[in-house]
Amino acid sequence: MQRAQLLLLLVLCTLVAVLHISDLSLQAQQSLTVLSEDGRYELAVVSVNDRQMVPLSDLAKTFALNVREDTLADGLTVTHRDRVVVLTATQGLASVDGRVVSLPSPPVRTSRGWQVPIEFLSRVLGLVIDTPIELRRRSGLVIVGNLHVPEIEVKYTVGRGQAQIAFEMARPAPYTIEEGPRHLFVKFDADALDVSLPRTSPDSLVASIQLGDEPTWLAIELGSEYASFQSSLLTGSGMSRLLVDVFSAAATAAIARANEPATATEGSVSLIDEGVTPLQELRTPVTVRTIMIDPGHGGDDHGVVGPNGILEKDVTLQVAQRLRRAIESRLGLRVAMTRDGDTMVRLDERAAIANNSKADLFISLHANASLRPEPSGAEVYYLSLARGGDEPRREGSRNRMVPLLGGGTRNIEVLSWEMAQVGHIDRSAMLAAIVNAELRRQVEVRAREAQRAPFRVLVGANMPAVLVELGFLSNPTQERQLTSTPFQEALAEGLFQSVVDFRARAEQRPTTTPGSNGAPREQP
Amino acid sequence: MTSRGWLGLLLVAVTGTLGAWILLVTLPDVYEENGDPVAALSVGEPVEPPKLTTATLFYVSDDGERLVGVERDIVEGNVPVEQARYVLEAQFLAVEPPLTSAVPENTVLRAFYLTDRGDAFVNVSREISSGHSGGSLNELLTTYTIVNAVTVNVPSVRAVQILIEGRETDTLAGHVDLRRPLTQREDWMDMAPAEPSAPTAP
Repeated sequence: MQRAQLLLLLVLCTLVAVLHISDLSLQAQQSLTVLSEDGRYELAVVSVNDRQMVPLSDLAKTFALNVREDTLADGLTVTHRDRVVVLTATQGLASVDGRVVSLPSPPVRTSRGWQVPIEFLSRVLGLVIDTPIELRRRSGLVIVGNLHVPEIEVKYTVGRGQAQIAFEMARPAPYTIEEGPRHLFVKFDADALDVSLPRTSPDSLVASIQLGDEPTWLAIELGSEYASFQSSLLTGSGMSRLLVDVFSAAATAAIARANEPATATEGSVSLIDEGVTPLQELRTPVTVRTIMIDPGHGGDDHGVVGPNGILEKDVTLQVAQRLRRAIESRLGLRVAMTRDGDTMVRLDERAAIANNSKADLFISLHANASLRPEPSGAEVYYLSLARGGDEPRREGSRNRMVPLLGGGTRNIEVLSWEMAQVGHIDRSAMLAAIVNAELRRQVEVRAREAQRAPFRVLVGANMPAVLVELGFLSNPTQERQLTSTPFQEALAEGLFQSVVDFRARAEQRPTTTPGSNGAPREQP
Repeated sequence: MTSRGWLGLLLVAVTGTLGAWILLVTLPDVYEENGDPVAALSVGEPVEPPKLTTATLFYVSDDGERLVGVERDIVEGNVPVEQARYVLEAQFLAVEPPLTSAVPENTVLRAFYLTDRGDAFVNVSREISSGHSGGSLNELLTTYTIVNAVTVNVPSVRAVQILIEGRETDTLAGHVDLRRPLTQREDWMDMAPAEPSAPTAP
């Protein structure tokens, strides 16, 4: 029996020891990249108790710290010149010259010596060496001193004959674009870059997007069909967005034809023939060049299912494709779609795709349903916000005073992404009225005029936007119509004429042949 | 210590723990539950019938394009939150033709909250979304059935946000933005009273 008790005691001790050891498990992990005026180097990061920590000995070597262990006080004293930091092994606190700074955990002693949480760098070390230290967790960068290291998220979208590389920056960074034989180089005027690159697979326009030879360059490797590019800088909504559009030969010719009269007045700077670096300008969308069509639903989201099994997601895609063909072939405008197949796209993404494509119009296509079989006809909506009155306008755009480095303040306009549509409501109302009238020439439209509703997909669209209900799938007769080619062509024609009409009004072009609302009419 | 000694010690420890638990935890609960046996067992006390009030509930019009208001007698709540619960419970009851409810069958009210600002949160079961037939018009009618039922019948409610199973939701079926409280809208509402029918008051 005594043997059994001893055995039990042994097992328990072993268990406790194993738990303790695993608790202090030390795993080598990735490193942090330290950027300073002296250069760039890597700092090892280890994971202790699931917390990221850095060896204090490494910091001591790099930043000339003197580390002394105080066994009586169970702590550490770190000194740098006349600065003294006291750390205790029991509390996540550091005393920097008497000033208490919190840390997510106390220092931990491992087989590799003392480890401190990575927050020690920005919260404590900066005070000790009297230099600002910024810790960027996402990119694993530690920026020592006042270096200019812009955060840039690169997004890539590709369409037919064209592709767009968007460089989203929290703060604008001066840049130049240089075209080489096989590359476009985007060269930023900065000390280093904090870049998040997209995963791209090579296509005929862009083979790859990667860091350039210099740490502040990004290299766009061009594909075999590349012919030209344009760039523009959008600012506002609290961030800057550099857009680089690359085109095939066919797309270049189509754009040149469509935009010849307007190019010179736009903020977007064409570099094709100029051979100059782009200017930073605020682009005001006074012309209509890019149409975003949003076929509602898709993938697992079927939308309405008609009495004979017709799916809303199929009808909206078919009409969207007809409309795209009409606009591209007859107007030569750029058309992008939030989906071009049977895929699920979240409502937020739909507006984001439109915004990132700098679309000038957003047309969301849907098919309607009623609990009664009788209702039929198309309807057009534009956004109403949840709360009435002027509150959304005030919320959507606010002037705020922000402090500037070196003193003083600056008044900036802040536009919430959630309220992106607010500034376009008047034009959206105009677009809705035009679509309502043009559709009425082609198909049955319900008696109501264009209506307002709090539709989610319209909220984030930073351009005039409407949602069009093409007809009622719950009505058996309309269900048949909505799948027929002539009816779909009629819908596409009504929507196409709406784009023509809106474009003429937005660009204030003289009307030729009066159509609805005095607009010119394009003939197929 | 011998093995018998160990066993004895273990037995004493277990017995002591059990005794303490009974003395300190279980007995007070028992006494508390039965602390007022007269009140708990009151039988034969006259029960007052619930006071009724008239509420306007909303159903889909004959042409399927609007909501029509239908007046119903429901139990009167003592406070706005209670009143709103009674209204919604009545609104969610199944109805017989010719009435049609825009709220999908089997939708259940889980909870109702009201803030000091007059923003109400209506927490409903997932059937409101999973049982929805889609379409913008249907979705508008479902949403504004709830928003209007509460705001029309409980004047202290300014706006209504619909939650599904306690969570904020983007939309019911891909259209109407439900991330913020919605105010009453009359665009899809016809206030002319329709013929009463037979949903049962709670």
